[in-house]
Amino acid sequence: MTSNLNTFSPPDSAPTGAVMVIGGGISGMQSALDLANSGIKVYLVERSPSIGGKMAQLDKTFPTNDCSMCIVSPKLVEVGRHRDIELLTHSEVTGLSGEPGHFTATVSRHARYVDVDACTGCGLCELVCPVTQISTFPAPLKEGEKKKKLRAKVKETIRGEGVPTPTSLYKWTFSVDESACAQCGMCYSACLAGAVVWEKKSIAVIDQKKCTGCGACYVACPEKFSAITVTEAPDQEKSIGAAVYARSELLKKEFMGNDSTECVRCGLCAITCTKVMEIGALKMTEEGIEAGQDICQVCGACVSVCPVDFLSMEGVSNKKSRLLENDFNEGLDGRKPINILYPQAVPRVPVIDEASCVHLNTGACGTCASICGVGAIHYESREEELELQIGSVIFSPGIEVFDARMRGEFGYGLYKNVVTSIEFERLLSASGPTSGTVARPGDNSHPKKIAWIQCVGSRDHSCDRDYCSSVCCMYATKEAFIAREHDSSIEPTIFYIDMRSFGKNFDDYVERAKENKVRFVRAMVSRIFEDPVTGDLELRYVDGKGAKKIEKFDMVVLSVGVQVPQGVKDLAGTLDIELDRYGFAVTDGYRPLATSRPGIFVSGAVNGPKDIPETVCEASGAAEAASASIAEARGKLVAIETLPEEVHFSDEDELRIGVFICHCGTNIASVVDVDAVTEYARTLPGVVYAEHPLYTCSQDSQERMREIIQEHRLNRVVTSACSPTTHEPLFQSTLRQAGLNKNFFDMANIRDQCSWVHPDDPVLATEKAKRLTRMAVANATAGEPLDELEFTVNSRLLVVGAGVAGMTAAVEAAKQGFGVYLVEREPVLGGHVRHLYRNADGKLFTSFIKELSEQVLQDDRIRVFTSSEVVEQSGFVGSFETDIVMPSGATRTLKHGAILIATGAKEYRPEIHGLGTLEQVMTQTDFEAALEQKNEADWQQVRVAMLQCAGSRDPEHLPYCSRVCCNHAVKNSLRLKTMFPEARVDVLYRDMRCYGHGEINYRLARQAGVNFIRFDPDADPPHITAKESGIEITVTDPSIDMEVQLSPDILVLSTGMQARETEELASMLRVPRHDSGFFIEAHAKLRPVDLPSEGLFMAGTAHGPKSSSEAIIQAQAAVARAVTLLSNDTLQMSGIVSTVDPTNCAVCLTCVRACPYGVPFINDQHTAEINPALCQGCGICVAECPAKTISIGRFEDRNIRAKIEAYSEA
Amino acid sequence: MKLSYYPGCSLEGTALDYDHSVREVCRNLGVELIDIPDWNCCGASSAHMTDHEIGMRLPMRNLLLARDLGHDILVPCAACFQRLKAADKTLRKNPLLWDIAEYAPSGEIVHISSFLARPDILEAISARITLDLSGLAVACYYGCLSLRNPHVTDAPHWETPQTLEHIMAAIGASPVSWSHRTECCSGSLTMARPDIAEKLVGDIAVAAKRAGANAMVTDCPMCQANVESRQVCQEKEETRLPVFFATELIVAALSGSYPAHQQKTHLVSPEILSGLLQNRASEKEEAL
Repeated sequence: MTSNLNTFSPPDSAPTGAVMVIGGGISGMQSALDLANSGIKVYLVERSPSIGGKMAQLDKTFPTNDCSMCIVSPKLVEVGRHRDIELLTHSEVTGLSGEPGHFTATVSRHARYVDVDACTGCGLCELVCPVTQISTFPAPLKEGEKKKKLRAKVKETIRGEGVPTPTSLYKWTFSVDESACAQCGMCYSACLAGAVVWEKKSIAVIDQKKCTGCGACYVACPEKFSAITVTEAPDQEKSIGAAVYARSELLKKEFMGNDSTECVRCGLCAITCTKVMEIGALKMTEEGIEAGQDICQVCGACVSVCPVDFLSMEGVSNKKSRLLENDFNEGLDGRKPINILYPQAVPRVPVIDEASCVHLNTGACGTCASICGVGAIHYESREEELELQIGSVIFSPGIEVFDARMRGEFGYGLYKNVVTSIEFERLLSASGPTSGTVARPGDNSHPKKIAWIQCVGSRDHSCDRDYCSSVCCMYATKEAFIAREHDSSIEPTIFYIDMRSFGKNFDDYVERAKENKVRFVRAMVSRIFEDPVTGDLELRYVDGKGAKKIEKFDMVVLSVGVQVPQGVKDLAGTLDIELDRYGFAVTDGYRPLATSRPGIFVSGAVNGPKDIPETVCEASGAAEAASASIAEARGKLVAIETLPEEVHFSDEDELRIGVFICHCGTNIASVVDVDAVTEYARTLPGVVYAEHPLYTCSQDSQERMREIIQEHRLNRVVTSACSPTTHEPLFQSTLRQAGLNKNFFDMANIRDQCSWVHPDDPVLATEKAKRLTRMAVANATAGEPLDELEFTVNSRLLVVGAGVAGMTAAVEAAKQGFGVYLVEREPVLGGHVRHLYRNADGKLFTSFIKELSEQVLQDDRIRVFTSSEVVEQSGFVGSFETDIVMPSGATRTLKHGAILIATGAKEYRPEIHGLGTLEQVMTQTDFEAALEQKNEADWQQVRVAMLQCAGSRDPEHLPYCSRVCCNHAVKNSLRLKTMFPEARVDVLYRDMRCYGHGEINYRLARQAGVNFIRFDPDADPPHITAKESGIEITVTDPSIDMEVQLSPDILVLSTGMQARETEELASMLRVPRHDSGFFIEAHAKLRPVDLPSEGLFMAGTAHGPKSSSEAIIQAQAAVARAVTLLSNDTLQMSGIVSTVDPTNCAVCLTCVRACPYGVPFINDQHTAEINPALCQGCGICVAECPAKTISIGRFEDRNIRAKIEAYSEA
Repeated sequence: MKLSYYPGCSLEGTALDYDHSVREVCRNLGVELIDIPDWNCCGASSAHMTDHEIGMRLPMRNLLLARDLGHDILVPCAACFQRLKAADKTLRKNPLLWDIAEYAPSGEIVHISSFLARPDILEAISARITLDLSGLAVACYYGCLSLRNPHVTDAPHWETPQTLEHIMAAIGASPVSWSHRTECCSGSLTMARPDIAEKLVGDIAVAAKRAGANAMVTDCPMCQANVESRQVCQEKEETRLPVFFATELIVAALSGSYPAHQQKTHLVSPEILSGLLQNRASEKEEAL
């Protein structure tokens, strides 16, 4: 696979300016966007039919309780629309050859059977598809073999409680085609209403007065004659399946709310079975429906078309039915063989599942293709092979959850009310199987007591999952929290080993959960028993005091860990990259994103378990790593769009408005009378053109829209269609391509806000659609063109701080081809790491820092200013000016396009337990240094006690968790035990937070004899007396429930990390900091290295405590983010910005205070001013200004007023 | 098909009828059982508690005798199975330590239920039954020794076994869903601490009844004896559950009868089975 014989290219040839990103989860999407936004072409290969990954399945996210879908969907849309990202969904990488800079990848595109470009995502195919089960198909026919007519041997009649009552609602008309009738009389004997008149050797005639429209005659007429014809059946011209669907829907509406489930003799089940599925297992009889159980293919079509729930799967077949499970909802509900992965999917295009689609297996049905308005369904599609030329690869295929069946004692898979955490996410989700109602899968009842069991498939040597999955403590807390938000009577309990809330603001979140009545019990549950009658669950565990406990719960959620799927392991084999024994990618602590194969970089949870923000960091970092070596090819393969000049209009020009009323397939048109709305639109002032396309957004409709704009010289366009969130940018770009300013457009949402919510009232819905359209027309009339500001970008980057993060950032930015100013307050480079010795891999920091410093100093693109400080800063994204004071005392002004803050952190040194006064009391850093200097004889039998959280997670000291101390203590104790096996180490801790692979060393330390003693800081803190004469510690060891006395020779304090003094810098840059002094990111989940102001980024411990590897990743990520700006010659700012009219400005400072981005300032004219380049267009100042002298384009008073007036017009 | 057969001491004593039913099922299925000649104690109970070497050497002698026969070894008793497996693993790892030059037989040690739950055997049983046991709601009870420790037993699902359920379904009985299938029956404490035994057996029997079972079925002779003998009912109206061997039920289904001498082997009345078979037989006659 990795042979490069055929694709050998001379090393001096320019690299390929494209990157293949494997995996379209949040990681792959972020990498793709950062690359594509910096001039690199991206091929995003995703195995499933749509991108989004695990994040799209989650309900809320910790620690902010943001809705996962709400924050990810803008990214989905951006990826889907980006012209330099080629989405290859439903595809898999099958090979990779070549070398870094010049790879050739082979990708196999699985047959989707739906044309991604033609499909508009209306979802109608999924609605009409009648199949709900995994069918049992016969073996495929051999060549020349004829399809045999199936004859049932096992016949059972499905009876109701009463006599079937025929309905003639929406009756089809059946009549006999005299030319085809073979006079066999089958129709006569089938008819239950006595409506067929027939005698031997005569042609049958149907008495329409007696006919109830059940279609029994139609079903009975032998296929070879097909003499019964159907008329008056809506949608019959499409296919009989489509007609069945149409009548079934009408009848369902009619019988809605009707409790009776008696057969209404509509006959749709038998028609479907015979005419659509070509089976003929169902027949109508006097008593009910006769089911030929043995020939049933168990597809479920008859049950799904039945309008009154008379049929059930058990009745129609003697085979066990197998529900076609919706994988996106974790199998908690069903789906159709043709399926859009989830409602917000990108691409929102279904895929047909070969295993369950009836047409693909037997040739019958074909209903979806018959109904598709744009002809997007192609049953003849086949798998395609594709070759991609790329410069590097990002491997981010993601993870799956642990199979909870492996922990049999919890009964997952056997007990219905035991679910996994990801299933619970779907139960919480508003778009999930229960629409966000917390219900037990066993009986749909509302559970009160819910238990979460932590570490199921994590920290578990017995099932080869030695690592910690890093996210479960937090997601369980969040799920418990949110469950109570859904239903405040829920009593959640979380059973855990250690509470690993090690991330930024995580402990605060756990505290909030506790206040919100989430109960935390430190215990591992040993066994669950199910009450077979009630489905309740009895949990057994041993509490903190060693007492055996039995507690009943209504529902149990297993906090399953993450693992690498087998398919990903196989793919890694294909790509020839090394994995560890658990399947995670092997990387080096100093090159944390580089795999074992040069040119392939890794990101996300496949590089070790991690949460979303860390994944996003890695994704940006991997984008940087993947593009650094191909930077010279930047811009070579990306598309360049040329647009026509914008047409200018004057106020005197007449209004020429074009209105497009979208059918959205039947999404809108089945409720709203689009004809009437179009007619109405034509009467509105200024409207010169109106039409109603089937799909306004389809490619041909957009072509047509452009032509119409030009042909009719339109100067305003309005569409009444779906959501502007997803579709406005598309329509606006069409306007722009036709030479119109984007802001001469408005959109009314007559789908989500009209047809979807008023399906039962078409008349009023049509009126509402008219009114919404009228408002949009009024708004467009009031629209004015807005200019998009363009300015040139200075391509240099200013990096503040030259520790690991700052130096890495400088080196990487230089590799990307940009000039760097690196400013360091200290006289030497290296930062805090200079005081440390070894990283988690056990490698010495000194050589790493030396190498990195040399790279920094030797690169002539990097200007280093040591002993220098930032004193003044001005400008905006793309053109900043920063003054620094150099050691000479002179000031120098640096001009640059972006800023990266890497000011770092330092070790906290509280004056507790004699630290600083007693020689035998030291910090972990001191101890690490001492260890390095010891030789064999020194500490043979030394007794060491380590105190964790010494001055951390303590309101009187550092209130937060410093994340690194547990791993630091484990690393140092292991090293001590390796050097001096006789030495004794006791670690006093609150929670051992050895997240991810850190857990493996924690286990090794325990095996090496390091003694871990947990203490409770409130109820039972350790008593420590440290004097010159010696150290005495008294602590209760909960594992033996006894007090122990320790007299260590050395007391090591794990003191945590403290932010450096950056208050002045922060106020100069107008960026916010947390109370603890760490900088606050623009978004806790999705913009972890961006600062809230445009053009400012951060990396390393300035953001919060972290390891050196994590700091390196952040540095690379921040560079990737900065390069998305610096790689542009010019930047265009949105036209939607606030402007101050100085005439009325009272200089009250309201806007200055209200702006979350600190943009408004008082200028030398003594009036408020807003720099349009800095303005984010949020509109807060506009709303706040008491003098109403600030305005914002597109949302002017006159726009709003025009809409309101249009609303109230009759 | 030929299998070496290791009955063990229980099957010559308290569970003699278990031995008979195993032999009968195998005969019916055309499986030839060859008793391991001159077999001795498996080393369970007293031996392995007294001395590790004795506890190992005893089953090893049996293994060496069986090796000469060259077949898989069928073991009905859970304790015997556990000991033989442990000895087999130890011996394969380092035969020289046990003064054996070479030990790598191809034959495996097979517990009765894993054997009977093989798809081909299930199919053969289904095809041969005279009367199916539909209407008999059974709680399948595995106990501990045939499944745990999985490193010894190689049981794929030591917490959630399904073999007895599959066997019961093959003869038409309805296995109930319940949680106590692998709970400890306290067999080793039944003599020394009857108070504990009664408590644990009581929990198991109550759980089985709550799940709707009208009988229990097991594949372990200790469990069978212990659960039947230690079922003490708190209240008079409460019924006690008979505990059948899986093979005992298979024989009943194959032959369509449940003779009186077999009924006498139970400490709890097994009339549920005899009654059911009578009903099924008369139903069948009526149908003819």
